[in-house]
Amino acid sequence: YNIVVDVDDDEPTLEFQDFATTGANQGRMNGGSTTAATSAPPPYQAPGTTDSSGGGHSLWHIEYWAQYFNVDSRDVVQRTYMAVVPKDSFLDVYNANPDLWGTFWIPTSVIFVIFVTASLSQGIAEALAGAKREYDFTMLTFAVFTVYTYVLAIGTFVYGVTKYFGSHPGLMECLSVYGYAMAVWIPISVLCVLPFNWFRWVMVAVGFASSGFFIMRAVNQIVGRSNGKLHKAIIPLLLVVHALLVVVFKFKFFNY
Amino acid sequence: MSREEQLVDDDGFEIDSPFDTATNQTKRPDLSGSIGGRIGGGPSVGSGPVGLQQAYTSSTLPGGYHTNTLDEPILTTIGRDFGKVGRKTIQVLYPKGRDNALQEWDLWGPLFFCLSLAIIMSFLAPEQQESAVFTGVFALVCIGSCVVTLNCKLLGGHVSFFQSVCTLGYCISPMAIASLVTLLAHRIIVTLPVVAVAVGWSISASIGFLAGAQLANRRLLAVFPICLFYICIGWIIIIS
Repeated sequence: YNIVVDVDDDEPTLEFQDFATTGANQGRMNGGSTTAATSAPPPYQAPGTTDSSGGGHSLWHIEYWAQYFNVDSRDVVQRTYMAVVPKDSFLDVYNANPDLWGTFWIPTSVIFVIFVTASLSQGIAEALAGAKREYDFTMLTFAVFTVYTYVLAIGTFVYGVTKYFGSHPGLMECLSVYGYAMAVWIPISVLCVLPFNWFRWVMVAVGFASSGFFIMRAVNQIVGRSNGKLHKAIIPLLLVVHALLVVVFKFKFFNY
Repeated sequence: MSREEQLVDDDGFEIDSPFDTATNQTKRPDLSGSIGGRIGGGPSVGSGPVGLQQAYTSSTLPGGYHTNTLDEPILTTIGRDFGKVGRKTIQVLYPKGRDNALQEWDLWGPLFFCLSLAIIMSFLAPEQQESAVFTGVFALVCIGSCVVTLNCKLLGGHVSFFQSVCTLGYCISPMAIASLVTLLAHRIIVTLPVVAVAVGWSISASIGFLAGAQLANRRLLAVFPICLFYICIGWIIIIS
């Protein structure tokens, strides 16, 4: 049987609307969209994945940066877990919705946790030895300097090198890899409070393996976007620098 | 001539000024607003025309009476600001009911608590690190409050920047009290529970304030830096 559809020219909803002339329909259409916009609280722009200018806001407005904080608690926990246990591809999940929350606050938490555990183990060691308990505030400033410099400098370095060789990296992407890679040091430094040097070396090695593998895999994915072979050489270089950081951690913080 | 005699008094005010005593009600419509309650307190010295002098130099007392705050004793002027700081501190330390003392932000209270905390910490520090500790604590509190506020704003919270900085600064007051206790009693057995209680107090006070910021799924993301901030300060107090 045939279905006959009546295309009735009198019904305005089936026609293309000419917004310049039809006043009533225009009011209805616009009324619908504006009420939707004004009823929802609009503190930030919805981040367009293709829009790199932040929805028209300049770098100096807070709305530009707010687009990078459009994550929920669940997302951050998931990404942190992916960084500590590097099974799946972090960058695929990250690039769908880049965030700066983890990139900043995870290194900050690492600084704090390392300072707490280091001063705790220093206190324990001195209490066991019977010496007077004095704390070293410069440990905090050293931790701040080390972690932030490492994440910022090496992250930017990776961005610069991969951009030079045509891999189209994102700056946020590179910084986030290093920011989230620090997450494994939170549990490691808690475990390193236990005053057994061999155990601390084992823990530090586990931390190096986990974070090193995570960084290597992510950078490999960035590097693999271009066809050049030359810049694959930076991956061993990054591993060496990471090992250097780990050794500094061990001897400065986990050595009491 | 007679007009000048009428206008010029001993103080240089109009003879028929309505502000001779503190209890005279103003004849003019209320133009003063809350100028008298601003940061730094005290009246701004009105140098405009005589007719507008009341607007620039009046201050609102409870009951709707307006006074010329240039005439009042200095203790009253200073006391007004101390009273405001004290009220906000009580509001933080003992939040009974919905008193909106924190709506009007000021930075005197946070400065006072930050400075006292930093000074006490530098007393507790080892000899050669006193200035490093003072600088570190002061910078930590100042920069930390700004960063935590910025984080909350970036996550889409509906907070005003300075109001949030003000609240975080007032919530440092339990930590300042705890550090004073640490200074007086150097024993870890006293310090640890006191600081733990103070940290919990500060965190719950700030979270109470944050409840009005309307963060849906991101409360953890906003609360975590606050906890980090206060626990960090608490830890520095404990290890002294």
